[in-house]
Amino acid sequence: MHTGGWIAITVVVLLVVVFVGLYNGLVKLRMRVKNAWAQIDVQLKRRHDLIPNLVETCRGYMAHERETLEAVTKARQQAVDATRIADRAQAENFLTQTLRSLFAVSEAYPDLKANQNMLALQEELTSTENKIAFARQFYNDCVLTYNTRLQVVPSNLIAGLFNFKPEEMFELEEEAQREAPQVKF
Amino acid sequence: MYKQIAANVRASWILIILTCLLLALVGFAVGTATAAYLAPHVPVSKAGQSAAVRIGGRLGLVGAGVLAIVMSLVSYYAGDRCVLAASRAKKIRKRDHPRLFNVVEEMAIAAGIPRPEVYVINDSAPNAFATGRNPKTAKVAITTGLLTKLNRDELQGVMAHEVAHIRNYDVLFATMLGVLVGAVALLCDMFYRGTWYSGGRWTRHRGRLGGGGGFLVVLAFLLALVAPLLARLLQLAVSRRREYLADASAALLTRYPLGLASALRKISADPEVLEVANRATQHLYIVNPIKPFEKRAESLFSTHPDINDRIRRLEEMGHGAAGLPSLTAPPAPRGDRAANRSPLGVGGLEQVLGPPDQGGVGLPPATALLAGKTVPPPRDPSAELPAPASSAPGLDAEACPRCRDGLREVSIAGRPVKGCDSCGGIWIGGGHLPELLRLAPRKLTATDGRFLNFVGHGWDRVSRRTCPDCPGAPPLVEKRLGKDQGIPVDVCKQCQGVWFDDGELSMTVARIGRGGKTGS
Repeated sequence: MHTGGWIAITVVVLLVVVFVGLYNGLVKLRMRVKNAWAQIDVQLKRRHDLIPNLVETCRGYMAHERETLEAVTKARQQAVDATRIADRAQAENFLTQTLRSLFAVSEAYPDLKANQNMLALQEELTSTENKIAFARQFYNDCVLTYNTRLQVVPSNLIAGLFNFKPEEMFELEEEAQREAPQVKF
Repeated sequence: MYKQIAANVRASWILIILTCLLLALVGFAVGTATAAYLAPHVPVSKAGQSAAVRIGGRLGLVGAGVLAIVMSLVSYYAGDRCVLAASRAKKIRKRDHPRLFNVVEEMAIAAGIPRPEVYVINDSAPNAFATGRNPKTAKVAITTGLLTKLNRDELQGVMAHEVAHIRNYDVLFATMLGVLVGAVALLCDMFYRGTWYSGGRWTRHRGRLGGGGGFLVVLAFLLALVAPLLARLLQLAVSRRREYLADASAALLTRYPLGLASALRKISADPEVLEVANRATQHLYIVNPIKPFEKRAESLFSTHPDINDRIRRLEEMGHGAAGLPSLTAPPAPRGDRAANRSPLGVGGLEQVLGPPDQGGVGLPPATALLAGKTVPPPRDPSAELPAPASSAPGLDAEACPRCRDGLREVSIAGRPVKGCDSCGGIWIGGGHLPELLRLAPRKLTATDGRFLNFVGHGWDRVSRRTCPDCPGAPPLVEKRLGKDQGIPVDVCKQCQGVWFDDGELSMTVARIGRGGKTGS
């Protein structure tokens, strides 16, 4: 075969290798983003699972705080049942609030505070909250990497060809409808 | 922060490449010198004895090479077990120490790696290390002394440092480098042995060699003398780099560098010496366990950087403004975190979901996003940024955040804002930005609601600029406004005022006209 033929073959093979590499890289990043998102859900579920135990432990000591305990149970149930996104967010927030007031009230019960089970639960809940925060952080990092990859040359060509869509960051800031201002300065 | 990590990664690769170059140079010099030396003799080959010596020498070299490879393989696959056994570390289960376990798991989640196995060393000296060739086989170990001394934030910092080592493949890195350094030493050794066995011949026949050959031989001799030492120094330099890198990565994982800084401070203040550590394992630990080394830590022969320097770097990250020693702003994040955590750390979740009273960003179930549905953020029409802090003119107040000149009151859409005549920047005081945007004539009905958000990149970069409205407040924080990369603006965390550099506001407006897209 001629030298030209070999060169052509080499170039084609190289192009295919680069192409496959870029495509697989994008798929991997996208899977990582999805996996990171699933982690957040896992940790939220874990919080739901911890609460019945917490309520049981507190019940023995806090006979006079039935309302507080019931509020926690109810909030948890709402969070578990919520299907719509907005509902769920609200329910999780409400659960956070009720938990906060439960722990505030529990300060008045020294026996409860010294209870080993209670201490363990407190550690578990603290850690779960942290894990949710870190899972979110990791999710956002993944999204950042993925979205950047979608925009930079040469993977943006592949992304456009196979319709890779950018993922959304998990924002903290409130998002509200805004209108454009007229600026003259 | 990201810059520090990038710089460290770059530095360690440069050092690795330097070591490779050194190896290649030694190999080349030794090879050429040997060839130049042997060339005149081989055809003559009168002394079968010396030929045998040479063959023997080469066989020995091959044997040594095989030994080196075997050793590196053993250290690759079994090194972690050896190290753990040598430090008398015991594997623990969750019920043995739930808090430690949880902290490790949190950090693994933050780094996106599987949770490493947790080991405890029964020793009152405070220290910790990580081992394992990849994240799947990773292990972290901590002494009981350190466990009892640290609070949760500090423990988190230490574990983040160890998890960072794992995620950065530092153990693999060190093994790789060790083999390289070993190879350099081996080559030099072989060269010496070769010349030694050939006895005085090389001096006797020196006269026969050309000038170039003689020069090469001398060079090879010098190199063989210096190279092993040089390689070892390079190895140590890499080790120190990787420590800085792990510190910076740890800060990135916890977003709270001061936790690790405070832990390092506690460790360095402790007079106790770790009994199970020795010269062979010292490079693994979070701080150098061999105390006398600590005194000349920044010296060339240390596996670890100076601990005070590490603390200083972390604290700089914590205060945001790198290299700004005169910074008197309070370490802002600390109070927030403490407040958020008490009494249970519910703040963590609140951060995720957004404060309830502000109708924060909802948390859609993961399944919704996975199914590819668009996720409309819940909107709260009553949500507003906090009212502007009473702008009491103080020492530094009223000064342009950028050029420190006075600000002039101007009006945009009938609302008073402040502009700087020197640099053309605009300061929109607390609460006025959304108000302004709402007041504006409704020109674009299809404006993307997501546009005017601050895009947090997780880590707020603190600028050196100060808020013109709040004297004594922490410096402004760099945020990005809008989608994608956004437009960089500086925001005061206290009054929520926003600073636009010259042209940024019109750029923002122009971008809104395109529905928030970056486009041209």
